[in-house]
Parts: sequence; structure tokens; C-alpha cells
Amino acid sequence: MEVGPMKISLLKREPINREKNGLTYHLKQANHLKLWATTNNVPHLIFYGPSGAGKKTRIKCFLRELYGPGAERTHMLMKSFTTPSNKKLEIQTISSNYHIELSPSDVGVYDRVVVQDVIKEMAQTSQIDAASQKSFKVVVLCEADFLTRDAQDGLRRTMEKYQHNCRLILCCENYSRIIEPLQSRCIAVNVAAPTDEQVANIVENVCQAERVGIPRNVLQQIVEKSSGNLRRALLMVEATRMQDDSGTIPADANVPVPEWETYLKETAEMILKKQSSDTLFKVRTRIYEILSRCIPPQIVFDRLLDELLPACDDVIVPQIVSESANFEHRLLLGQKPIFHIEAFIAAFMDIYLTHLTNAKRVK
Amino acid sequence: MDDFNVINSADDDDGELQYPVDDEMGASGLRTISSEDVASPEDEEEDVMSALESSGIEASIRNRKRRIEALENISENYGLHPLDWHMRMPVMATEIATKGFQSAAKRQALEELQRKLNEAVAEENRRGPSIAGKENFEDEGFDEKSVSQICDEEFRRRFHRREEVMSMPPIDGSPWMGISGTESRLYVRMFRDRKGQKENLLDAVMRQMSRQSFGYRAFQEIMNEAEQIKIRKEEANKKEKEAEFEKILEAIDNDDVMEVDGDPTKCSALWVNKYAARNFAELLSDDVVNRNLLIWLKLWDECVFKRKNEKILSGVNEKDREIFQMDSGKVRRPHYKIVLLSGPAGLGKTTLAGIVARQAGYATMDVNASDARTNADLQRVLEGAVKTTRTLDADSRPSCLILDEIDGCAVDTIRNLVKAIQASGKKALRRPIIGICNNLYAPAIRELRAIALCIQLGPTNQENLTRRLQLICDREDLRCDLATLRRLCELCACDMRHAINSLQWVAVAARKRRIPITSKLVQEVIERERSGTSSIFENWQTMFDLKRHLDSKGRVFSIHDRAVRIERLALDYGDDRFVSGLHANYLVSLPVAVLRKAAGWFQFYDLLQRIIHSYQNYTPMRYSFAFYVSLHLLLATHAKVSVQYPQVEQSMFSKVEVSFNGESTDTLDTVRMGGETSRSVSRNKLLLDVLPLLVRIVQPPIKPMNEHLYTQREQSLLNSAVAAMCDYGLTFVPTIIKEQVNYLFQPAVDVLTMFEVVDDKKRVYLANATRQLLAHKITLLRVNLLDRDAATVLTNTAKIKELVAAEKEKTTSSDSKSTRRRLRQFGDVHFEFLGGDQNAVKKKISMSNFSALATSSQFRIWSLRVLIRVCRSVFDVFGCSPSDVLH
Repeated sequence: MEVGPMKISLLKREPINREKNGLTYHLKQANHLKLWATTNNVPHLIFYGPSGAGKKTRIKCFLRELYGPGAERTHMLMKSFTTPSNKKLEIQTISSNYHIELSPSDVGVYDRVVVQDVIKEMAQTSQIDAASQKSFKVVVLCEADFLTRDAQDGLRRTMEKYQHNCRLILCCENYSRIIEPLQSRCIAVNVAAPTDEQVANIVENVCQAERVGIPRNVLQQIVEKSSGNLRRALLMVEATRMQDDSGTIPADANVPVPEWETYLKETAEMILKKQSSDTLFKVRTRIYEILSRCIPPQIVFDRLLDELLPACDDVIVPQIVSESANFEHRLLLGQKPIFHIEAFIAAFMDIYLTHLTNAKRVK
Repeated sequence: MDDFNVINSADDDDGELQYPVDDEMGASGLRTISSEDVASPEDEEEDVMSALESSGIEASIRNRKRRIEALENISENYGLHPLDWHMRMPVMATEIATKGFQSAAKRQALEELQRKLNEAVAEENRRGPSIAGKENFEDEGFDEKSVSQICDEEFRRRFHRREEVMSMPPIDGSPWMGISGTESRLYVRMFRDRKGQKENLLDAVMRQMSRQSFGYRAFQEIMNEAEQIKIRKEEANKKEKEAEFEKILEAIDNDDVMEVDGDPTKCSALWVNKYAARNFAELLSDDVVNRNLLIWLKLWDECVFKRKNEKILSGVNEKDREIFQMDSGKVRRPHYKIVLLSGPAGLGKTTLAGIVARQAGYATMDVNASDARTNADLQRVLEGAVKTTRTLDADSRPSCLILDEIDGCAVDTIRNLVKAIQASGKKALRRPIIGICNNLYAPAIRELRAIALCIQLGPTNQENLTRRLQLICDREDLRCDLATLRRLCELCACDMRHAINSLQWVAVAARKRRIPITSKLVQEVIERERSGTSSIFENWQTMFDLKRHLDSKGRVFSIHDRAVRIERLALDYGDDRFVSGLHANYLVSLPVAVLRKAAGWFQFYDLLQRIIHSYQNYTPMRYSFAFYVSLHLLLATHAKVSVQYPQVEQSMFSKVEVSFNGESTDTLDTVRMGGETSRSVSRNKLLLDVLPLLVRIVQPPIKPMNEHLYTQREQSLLNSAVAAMCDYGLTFVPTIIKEQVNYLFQPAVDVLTMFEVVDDKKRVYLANATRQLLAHKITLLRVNLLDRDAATVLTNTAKIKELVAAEKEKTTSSDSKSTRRRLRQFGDVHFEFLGGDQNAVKKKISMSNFSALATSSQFRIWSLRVLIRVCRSVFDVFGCSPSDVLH
């Protein structure tokens, strides 16, 4: 069945990736959405799911179903607003006649002001062509899980008050970071990551459409390395293709991964190699390096743990996991991420080293 | 009452029941026994002066020596008796102060008396015989001897009963002091004659005199005479002092010179204010500087006070005369309208400016950094003080503006000031301005410097400063030798303010600890003060290095003491920067387990900070000491710690923070803003997934060569790279690195996403030539896209163009459906005169159309005008002149 044209395309003018088929997975859910779109009775929605699972795509399809192709004609607009401390800030919005899309977390702690001013202002004006179209506009809030508590509280009232004019669609990765009052006001739509088969399927389809032959083992690599992230999978295909000047993918091609991941992997190897203050110092420099490229500390944390855990003995895994949970929690509470990441590494080193020496003694 | 047991009575005038604080007091007290025990009546026949001297605190060195000897004798001969516990009683600072005050007053009175007496005697001797004949009562025996005798008696009467040495403690309850003698114990009775003390000694003498009528009159006369002599002497002294400035001061009318009236600082507790210079003669700065400033101010007289005096410059040498030129305005003013006084802190620049301005007859108007110093403020002050001339009334003085700390002003403000100074005509400056700054070459005042008379103050002469400090010591009744004062000057680098402040501080410290002021104490105090400004590196080291916690014997302090020390340190310096430094340096070579704990404490600190910042609740701050102390206890070792500044963290911060125009953030934002596709991708996705792979996608392994030589496949690779880059708003720009042109990513996504990974050698980089080619192609593509975008917004011009194109198409090809539809769409073309692009409209219009319009119209004249204008434009198009047609 066809819900709407799905554009997996990331590079729009790139001939590759131009996929004009409909959504190819989670079809049941897609049907639900389509059904909603035909009525005039759309609830507020929260789309959540891991990165690269196709949340945005689904939202786009939904909007298209709601308003027709007009929703795809978007333009970018900078909205300016003034914070209570008289600071002038701008936020980038993407809007069509029917909807507006923005990520308030771009402006950090001032997202409350965005919610209070910009969104409210949007919500107060009614749909231009209410007769022939739906009676409401849609505000899409991306990265809603990065909204501060204040901003989320600010949304509560707005959601209820302007229900006639406006529907909110929140898009987030972490459902639990949306406060409960908002959760209860919305219908949650879980966009799970596609399974490996689905990823493989999609990648194959794209390659077929682009007339790029993809060897079996490369496909396998891509599926593994993308771990359910479709965006990354497609980019990997393209990057792999570009590696060879012939424009085809050789059978022994190496699928590139983002370098920050490689860097973190090497950092993890360093940690496992030697546990001393020297290593800790070197590791810290590397962590600084990564943080200075704007990579979110939580992701650094996650990746490190992913890399470190497989090397650990089963005995200490629970200990490490519980420690890391503690540290990550504090990381979210605290201000200086380096303190927490470093504390985690130090703790890991200690646990690991103690275990190693104990094991030796036993032998 | 108990005179029976009096052995001897002393002439010590110290009525306090106190054990003397210092050796001198002790000596004078003890002397009564050691030396005067055996004093013969001849001793008492000593002249008044020596008796007075020995009784005062400030005794001659001879006496002091004698006393010290006496003290030594005493300590040899008599040990401390157990009964004398009260001799060890602590002395309260206030009591010392009152005593100092009293003794100073007494000393002053005695000196006064002595001088007057001497003068009187001299006078008497000089005119002796001539007066003797006229005034009979002098024959009655009131001669110099009688005067001295009277005094002598008076003193004896007053002082000899002050202290009496007794064989038993006095029984009338008066205070006493026990002293163990060689054989027996002696008791010194001390009188507390409060009433007598408060009385001026001189008054007492006079009262005594008045009882003898004629003697008193004679005394009165002598006193007056003496007073006169004193006044004359003082005047001469003063004149001598100011002789240097005579020439300048001559030029000043007496009523112009403003006396420093009732100084509010007189009662100030700070010595710096108390002993600030009050007049021109008291200034310690270089005389040449003082004089130049005064001369410059006097040059303004012509403008301000409307009188000329040429005398001012008479003392100035040729070289300086150039500085003091006048301009050639209607009202002549000095060439330089503003003086810039500059020099290091504590030289007395502000004091100098204030005094000189007052000396020259101005009322000063201070504007310093504590006031707001915006443009508006400056304007107001200038208007009020300097530009108006009306304040020159009978009693009010014209004002002189003193701009203190002018180097702290904004450049804008200085610019305005310069403008105001250079103004001429009605707005011209009519009053002098003195600017004061520390750094003459501060960038802010560069413009001002060019038009100002710059006077730089050198460091204060050390001798002068020492002398001033000595004067203060005298006035404050401090005993301090010259060497100590010199040392103080050296330590303060001749900073007058610092020196006086330190002196006061040292004095307080000396009083508190009951020790005399020595150079050691001075050094100690100043050093301690300095240690307050210990560098942040030292503080970091204090945290990590046990060597900084050693006591005098080289042992490490106990944990408790160290904790207290660290707590103090944290209290003084514990800020974010300090903690950053701690974090940067805490990874010393210790077991990982220790480091783990330390890292845990950093987390603790971070959470505290978080609470403090997010709730503005500073109560948890107190727990941060736990962090500092634990960190110290965990990490402090004897090993040498090379402390580094937390640069890595700072550089990370500067890259990420938006407020610092962070490099990484900037790149990311530019990408998001730039490309059409990247707009809809969120930051994190862009950073984590898209850009790292995109950097690879856009760098296909193509060999650099001529574009035409590429195979079709290579071409397509290139094109796809170009398209991708264009989508994300990337391009290459030529940048010169080491004199070579390199094409770099713009925005620098490669810097953002590339790391120093192990296999980074395998990375493919595009050759420069290829990058150049790509950049060129990207530019072309962008232009094309822009055109296309512009075309979608349909203007009349575009419509016409399309119409023309459609028409051509119609003629060339057969009527297709699409063309017809287009025609219908753009059928109703209209145009406005001068409404759009000039060369857009080219259509044949015959003159008859216009004439028909002109005749039929009721508003003929109006329409004719329009016609002519329209025609002109039409003729311009067709290339013939309007006159041809109109004819």
C-alpha cells in the first residue's frame, strides 16, 4: 500500500537515494496515521524512536496526507525574539503555509521564551484557508527531549488553550524525558528502528534504483555498522561508492564510519591497555578534543561504555554498568561534563585493574 | 599621711599605675631608685630643663643611655619578686594611647614654656638697664633668676610628690609598686593626680605667678614678647620654605589664593588622608612638575580672571617656554587646553592636581571612575563646569575640572572630550581641565594625548618620603628609626600611599603585639600583606604539594592544621578558575583508586555548583570545603608538581561556547544555515551522522587533470560531489598557508569532523587543483540555482520575457497545447511608466494614440505635461529628440 512518497533522500539533488516508494516498514502504524489524517480530529502527537529510524520522514508524510503537496513547499525563516534579560536571539524555522517546524533546544536555556513567545504567537493565528483545509495548523517541535523543564511546562497550557488552531507534533529520541503532563496530552507514536532485514532491504532497493551494484558482504557491513540507523546506512552506501574512482562498490570495500566513533574506539583501547594516571591524562586530552567538536557528552559516554563493556569480564560488568548509570545521571545533573566522564573512566580503570590483579593472584 | 616612711620622692610625672611598657618607661621608673635613691640635694639644683627632660618620655640620648645602664643594673641587682605579679599585667592598647597623648601634650607644654622662658630671659638681658629705670617694681627682685626660681619651685612642688619611695606600702590606699632592693624591699607610691594632669602645666605656672601680682604682670609681658618672637620666626620659616615659588605666587592676588578650609579629612582615621598634603609647600612630588602645572594653570588667568601677567613666565627657561605658549584666540588661552598627569599609583597625582588648582584660585570639580562616565555624563560636567563663565562671582570661584583615572574612559567618551576641547567660538572651552591617568600610553587616550600637555611624574624622592614618614611617626607618637623607615620606603617602591598605609598597619601590629617597630616587623607585615596576593599557581601548588605545609622544623603540619589552611585558601581563592586549575593538574602519579576518589570529589563539586547556580541558593557553598580538603588530603605528596594553567579546558570552551564565537559551534551553525538540505537536519544528526560521512562523500579519489580529460564516470562522480556540497552549503576557498594557496573547506567541516585516528594516513584528500575545480563548479551551480529561484518569483519583466519566448516558439513551431495555455496565462500584459526595468519594455506606440488621449482629456494642461514626459521616455527608446516630434 502507499501512504505517501517517502523520500529517504538525504542529498536531494543526488540521483542516488531518490526513492519514490511509500513507507516500507511499520506499515500498520502508517495506516493509522493515514486514517487520522483524513479526519478533522487529529490529536497532539509525540513521535519517538532512535536516531535514523525515520521519525521526521513519517512526520513529513503525515503532513502531506493532512494538507496535500502544499505542505512540502517550505521555506526557511529566522524568527527573532527577546529574552527577559533583553538579549536578542534568533531561531531558525522551516515553515510552509500549513505548518512550522523548529527545534527550540537550539537556543539552549532560552527555549522557554521560544515556547512562550514564538509558538504561542504561531498558535494564536488561525489557518488561512480554513474552509478548504484542516482547521488547524501544525507546529513540529524537533528534539523535544532536549527541551528544558520550564519549556515543557510552558507547552502544557499552550496545548490546551489553542487546541482549535493548532496541533503540536513533538519529535524526540527519548520518550521518558518528556514530562508526564505532556505525555498524557499526546498520542505517542513509537517509530522503532528498522530491523536489519528491513535496512538491508531498503539499501538494496536504493542501490537498485540508482543502478549501483552492492556486493553482499558490503551490504552486511553496512547493516552492521549502521545498527538500525537508516540515515547512516544510506550515507555509508554513498561514501563507500565514492571511495573508488570507478563509482562502483568493489567487493572488498571498507565501509567508512564517522571518525569520532573511531576516535572513541581508540580511546577505549587506550583505557583497556594500561590503567594509570598517565593514561587518564591522555584520555582526558582526547575527551576534550571530542567535546570541543560539539559532540554531546552523553553520546561520548554511551559510546565509551559500548566499547569498554565487551572487553570486561562478566563478573565486573554489573558493577561497571551500575557505576556508569550513576555517572551518567550525574552528568545530566551537573555542569561540567568532563568531570563526570573522567570520573567514570577513573572508576572503570580502578574496577578493571582490581579485577585483573585479583585474577592474577588467584592463578 | 604616711610621710614617715618616705625614703625618697621621685619626679616621675607618670601618674599611671602601670608597669611601664618599654625599656624607657621602665628605666625612668626604676631610675628613681637606682640613681636618685642616693641623689644629693645638689642634684635637685639641676636647671629646669634637665629636670623636665628627664621626666619626659622623649629624653635626650644621654639620658636614655643612662637609663638603659640603670635598667641593666637593676636587672642584675634585683630579680623579680614573686609579689610583683602585677608588673606583668598586660597593658591595654587604649591606655598606651592615652598615655602617649598625655605625654605628648606635656612635652609640648614644657618645650613651649622652656622656649618662652629662654626668649624672655634673652629679651630681658638685652633691654635690661633701659627698662629698669622706668619700672620700679623690677627692682623688687623679679629678674631672670626669679622667673626660673618660680618655675623651679613649681616643678619641684608638683613633681616631687608624684612618686615616693617608701619602706612600707602606703597606708592611705594610694597605688604603689614594689621593688626588691639589695637588702630590703622598697615601695614606690604613685599618685594619681588626675585633676592635676589634665591641667595644662603652663596654666598652672601662670596661676602660680598670678598670686604674686607684679611678678605676674612682668611674666605676662615677657610671654607676649615671646609669642611675638615665635610668630615672627614662623613667618620667616614659612617664607623661606616657599621662596622657590615666590615668583609665581607673587602673580597671584592674595584674595585669589584659596585657603584650605575646614578639612573633612582632618579627623580621618586613615593616615593617608590625615597626613595628605594640605598646601603647595607640603607636596612631595618633583618641584619642577609642581611648578609647571601651576604655571600652566596661571596661563588661564587671562581667560578666566581677565587679567594679564607676563611675570609668570619670567622664571621659565627657554626650552620650557615653548610649552607654555598661548593661542591666538580672541580671549587668549594656553596652547594646550588640557594637562595629562601621569605616573604610577600612589604618587599623589590627585592630591597635586587638587592643591594646585586651589592654589591658583579655582574650585575643583572631581570626576572619577566611581561616577558613571558615559558621554552624557561628560557633556553634563563639561557644560556645568568648564564651558560656562558665569560662576565668576564675588565669592564663588571658577571651577577647574579634574578628570581622574581618565585612561579608564571609553574611547568614545575621549573622542567627545577631544571634540569639546578643540571647539572654538561660543562653545570654546573656558576653564582648564586636568586629566589624571596611570598609563599615558593607554590606547583609550591616544587621541587626547596628541592635544594635551603631558606631564609625567617620576617616583617620589625617597629621602623626602622618609622625612614625611618620620613626621607622621612623630605626630602619632611612634618610635621608629630612620633605617626602618627607609626600608619601608624601599619595600613599597616609593609608593607614597602604600608606604603610609603600611606604616599605619605596622603601627597597629606593633601595638597589638607590644613590640617596637623594627625593620624586621615592617618586612614581615608587608610580606604577609603580599602573600595575600599570592599567584594562583602558588595556590594550586599549596593544594598538591606537601612542601608548602611544613612548619619551622620541617615537619608536615597535622591533618587538622592542613585542613584549616586549605579551608582558608579555598575561602580566599576558591572560584571556578581555581577548580579548573585543580582539575587540570590533579592527575599526579598516584594509584588509580586514589584518582577515582578524587574524580568523585570533582563530581561532588560540580553538583554543588549546579545547585548553587540553578537555584541561586548559596547555602550548599559551605560544603565545598569538604571538596577542597579531601582533595588535598588525597592528592598532596612530596613530589614536585609542575602546575599548568587549564589551557586545554579553556580552548575547548572557546570552541564550543556560542558566546565566544566558538569555532565548532560556528561551523555547525553555518552549515545549518547555508545548505538547503542541511536546514531540515538537526544539529546532532548533522554532526554525528551526516557531516563525518559527507566529508568523505565529497572527496572522491579523482586525479587532478583538465576537466575535459575526465571520463564520463569521473565526471558524474565530480558532479555528484558538487551537488552534495551545494546542498549542504559547502565550498572550497583559497587560503594562503605558508605562502601556498590551499583550497580549504568553507565552513571548515573537515576540522570539525576529522580526528587524529590511527588510520588517518589512509584518508583520501582531494588535490588542490581538484578542489579548485570543484569550487568553480559549485559557484556555477549556485548561480544557476539562484537564477532558477529568481525565475520562480514572476515579475512583469519575467512575464514579458516568457511571452516573447512563447511568441517566438509560436512562430517557429506548431501550436502546441502548452504554448497556447501559456499565452492565455500571460495574455493580460500591462506596464507602468518607469515601473520596472527600463530596457524591459519595448513596444511600438504611435503618436496618434497620445494625441487622441490629449485632446479628449478634460485636463489638458496636466495631460500635456504627462505626455511630454511619456514622449521623452519613448523618444529615448527610439533614439530621436522630443523637439523633432513636437514640431
